[in-house]
Amino acid sequence: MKRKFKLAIPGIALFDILLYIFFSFATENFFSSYNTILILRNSCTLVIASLAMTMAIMVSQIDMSIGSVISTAAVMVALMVNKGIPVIVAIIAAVAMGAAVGAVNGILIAKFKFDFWVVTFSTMSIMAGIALVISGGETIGFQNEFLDWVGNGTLPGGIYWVIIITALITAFMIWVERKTNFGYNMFSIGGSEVVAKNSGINVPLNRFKVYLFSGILSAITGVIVASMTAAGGPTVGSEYGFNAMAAVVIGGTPFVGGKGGMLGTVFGTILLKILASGLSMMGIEPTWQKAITGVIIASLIIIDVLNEKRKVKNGLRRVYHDVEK
Amino acid sequence: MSKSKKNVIDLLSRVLILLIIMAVMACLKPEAFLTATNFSQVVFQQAPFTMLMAFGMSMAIITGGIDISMASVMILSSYLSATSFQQGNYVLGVLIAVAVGMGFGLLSGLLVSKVNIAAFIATYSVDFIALGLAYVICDGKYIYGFPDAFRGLTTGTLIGGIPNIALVTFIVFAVLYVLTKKTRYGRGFYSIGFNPKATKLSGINADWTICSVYMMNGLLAAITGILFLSRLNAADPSIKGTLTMDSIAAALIGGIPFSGGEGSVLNTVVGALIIVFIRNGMNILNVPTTWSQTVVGLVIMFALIYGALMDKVYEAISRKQNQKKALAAE
Amino acid sequence: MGMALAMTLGMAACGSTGGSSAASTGSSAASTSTAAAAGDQKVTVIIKNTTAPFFISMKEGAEAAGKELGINVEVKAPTETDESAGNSQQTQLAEEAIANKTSCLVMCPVDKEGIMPAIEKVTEAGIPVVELNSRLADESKAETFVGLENVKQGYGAMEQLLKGLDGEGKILIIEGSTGAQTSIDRIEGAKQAIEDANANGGKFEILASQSANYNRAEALNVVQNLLQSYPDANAIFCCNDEMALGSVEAVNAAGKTGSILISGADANDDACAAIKEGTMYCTSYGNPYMQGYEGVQAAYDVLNGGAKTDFYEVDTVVVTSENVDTFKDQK
Repeated sequence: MKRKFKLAIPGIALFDILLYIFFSFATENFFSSYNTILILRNSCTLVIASLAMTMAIMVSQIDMSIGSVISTAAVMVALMVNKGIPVIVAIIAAVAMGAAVGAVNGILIAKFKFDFWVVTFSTMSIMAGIALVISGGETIGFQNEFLDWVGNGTLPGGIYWVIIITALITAFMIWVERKTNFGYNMFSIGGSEVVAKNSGINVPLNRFKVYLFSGILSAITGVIVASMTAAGGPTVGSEYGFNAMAAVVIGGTPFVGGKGGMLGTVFGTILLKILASGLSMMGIEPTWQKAITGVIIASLIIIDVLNEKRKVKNGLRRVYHDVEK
Repeated sequence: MSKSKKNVIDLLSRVLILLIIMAVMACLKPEAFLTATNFSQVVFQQAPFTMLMAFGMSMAIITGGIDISMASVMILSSYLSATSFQQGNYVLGVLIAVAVGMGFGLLSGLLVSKVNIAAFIATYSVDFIALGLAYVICDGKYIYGFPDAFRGLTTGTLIGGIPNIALVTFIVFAVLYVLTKKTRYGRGFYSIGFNPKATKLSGINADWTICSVYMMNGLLAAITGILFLSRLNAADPSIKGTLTMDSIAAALIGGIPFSGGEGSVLNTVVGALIIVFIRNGMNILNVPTTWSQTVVGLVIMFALIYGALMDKVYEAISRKQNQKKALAAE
Repeated sequence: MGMALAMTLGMAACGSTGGSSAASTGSSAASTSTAAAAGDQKVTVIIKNTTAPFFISMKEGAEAAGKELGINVEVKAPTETDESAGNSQQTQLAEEAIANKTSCLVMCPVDKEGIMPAIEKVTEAGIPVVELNSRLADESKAETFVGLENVKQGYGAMEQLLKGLDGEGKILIIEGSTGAQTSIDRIEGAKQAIEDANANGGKFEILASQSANYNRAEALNVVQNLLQSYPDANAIFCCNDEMALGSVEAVNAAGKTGSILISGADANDDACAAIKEGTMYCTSYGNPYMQGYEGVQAAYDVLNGGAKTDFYEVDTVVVTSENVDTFKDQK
């Protein structure tokens, strides 16, 4: 049974607009086409990483290894391009690496039923270390026309190609979420694993797919990060894990999963980037920026958690999670 | 076979892993590794930190959760209590450290038990807050130089040449072991990890037990923070290092299953020793530090797989034994 | 007084390239649409973080220069605390500076390679760039470099360490965060110092080189373990004071205080205290306050006629027990 395709604008988009208006008034230079395009451009890599995270959170789990796969992919691309390997081969190799890591996560979690947090935490550590080792600890710079076009190329109007690429990937993921069985299965498993299983969904296979695609998307993110900086650094992915988690939950997909989705995540990501840009332009100290951002994220998450509990209490949403534990 | 027999054999297998690792190091560079100084340094000076944090991590894991806030709480509590220790105000210093530690522990505990947020999210947030506060309060000014009497906590020896820090660790271990294994509180503690619903139904105050575990972790973090002040002779936010990852690895390789409900602080002792000796070995063998993250990550993965394998083996043995019993009864 | 000294130094170090950079600065200053009046000039300084004492000091110096020269100075940094991360945030800050219509960008890059696309955007927008403390991968984009040579700093510290060793020594090197340019440079300088000393009849050898991530506690463990492998080491060269102080504790624990000489870098308060006590042998003062100050000074020069030189050198001072109380006045 396929769900009807609804493109309802998530409530979080309202926050985006409010915040944007606030900063436009609070600072001199926030409100400009240049800055707006900048924010969109800077959101791109986090959007793709957050789409990956959305899948894991949708099925009530998480993927801690996203950041490390990003770093390793970026380094791999940089190293290979420098050695003269054709760009397309480098990209395929990086994506294959992401798929491999995702597959390992998937098998250990879905088939062997190890705890998702520990497994992805361990793959995170392993891959982070590998990124450091193969890069020798240094950022590897490179020159490549294709990647430069991907990362920094613009259309005549000033719109970056990377924004378009990201939009295409987002559209694809939304299509997967709403129009394919896999997408429906994710919602179902997140809502209640028991019910999903009873209605014939192959839960382990779908969970495996989640981690596989998460790895692939993370690798793609890494390639784009490398393109945007013309360099692959071993720690570029380190903040993505936390930021992606925040973007997803703010965007309306709660940690217990089962609702929300990709579109909300996009707005959640843009919200974070608007916040970062605005706070910085207001001249607020970096340590306070981190604190304020943390407080806002925490508040939005708590509101969401309390909201969920209220719905459970009022019988508006059945929760079978206790049974599985 | 009985559960307790299984636990003993499992623990012994972990000790075997420790011995194998030590044997490998000994073969590769005996003149550096196999010395009394190296052993005493690793066991009595380096291991306690990982071990104390791992105790906390283990307890959180046994209740079915996790606590990744300990490192930052340790930093914050040590920083806030530092000036008191510097001025010789030991009682005040301890009070501040304990208050900060247990306060944040209570926060974590409430988030997990009352607000019902998943443990890794709740403790990650507390970690974020604690570390942020530490950096804001510290403002780049580290605190250096502590009185000799205070330094004696880690460098001095009270009994028979064993550093005081090791003594402190042993006392903590003993207290925790008795608390978790020999008291009614301990039974409630294990049953929460094993079967949360049944625990709540059986009348044990699950929420309070969970909170108390996280508060104990806060206390452990505070103690570790004080020990760091003494050993490092400074209050320094950069001590966070690899403690979180190491303590998780220690708990798991020591034999505490992540699913909760099983394991004891004895496992943690063995696990912590394994991790610390691995690091010690890598330094001695001049393995570049870039490898250490990968190695510890692999240890965690190995621990998971090893645990699952062992479970399968015990199951098979138990089935065989039951079959024998059934046959004998006929 | 120290500032007057520095300014004189800057002017005195005028090189022949001063003329050509003035010419190129002149054209870029003309194409900047902001007013040339000093009051309207806005300088954006991007540093690595605002949590390490070193960079807090740099920020203070930059802000002080802004006040004295009468220009608007904004100091920005990534919110990440780790020295080797934060490139993407610095990139965003640089791009923001364009949006903010800054007059000149003073950049201390976390990642000299990864920041280049952002630097190119900045220069394409007509905004001049001044390098601060760490050089960019492509220096042709910058007007001038302000700072010290980390290589020189490493050389000076090692040179002093070797002097204290009396002709022969076995040295342990403790590196900073893997890949950190400051660490790489200081070690390069240190190794050069050893080569030079050996060419003059010295017998110095490096026993091992390991990283402790600029971290005091890690250095304690690493050095303690290394001393097991190399019990005959008699000197430890650390890429910063934090690790040097960790080494001090390791050496104390091993009971070898006084027989192992330890050097660091940064000259922070704790290190100076250790030097006075005799547990640390030497360190070198990178003068971050002055670096920040000179960074803004150089920006001011660039906006008003051109950089006076292509290297605003802030001198490093090797600090030993002899000048530990007075070295700050020397600059």
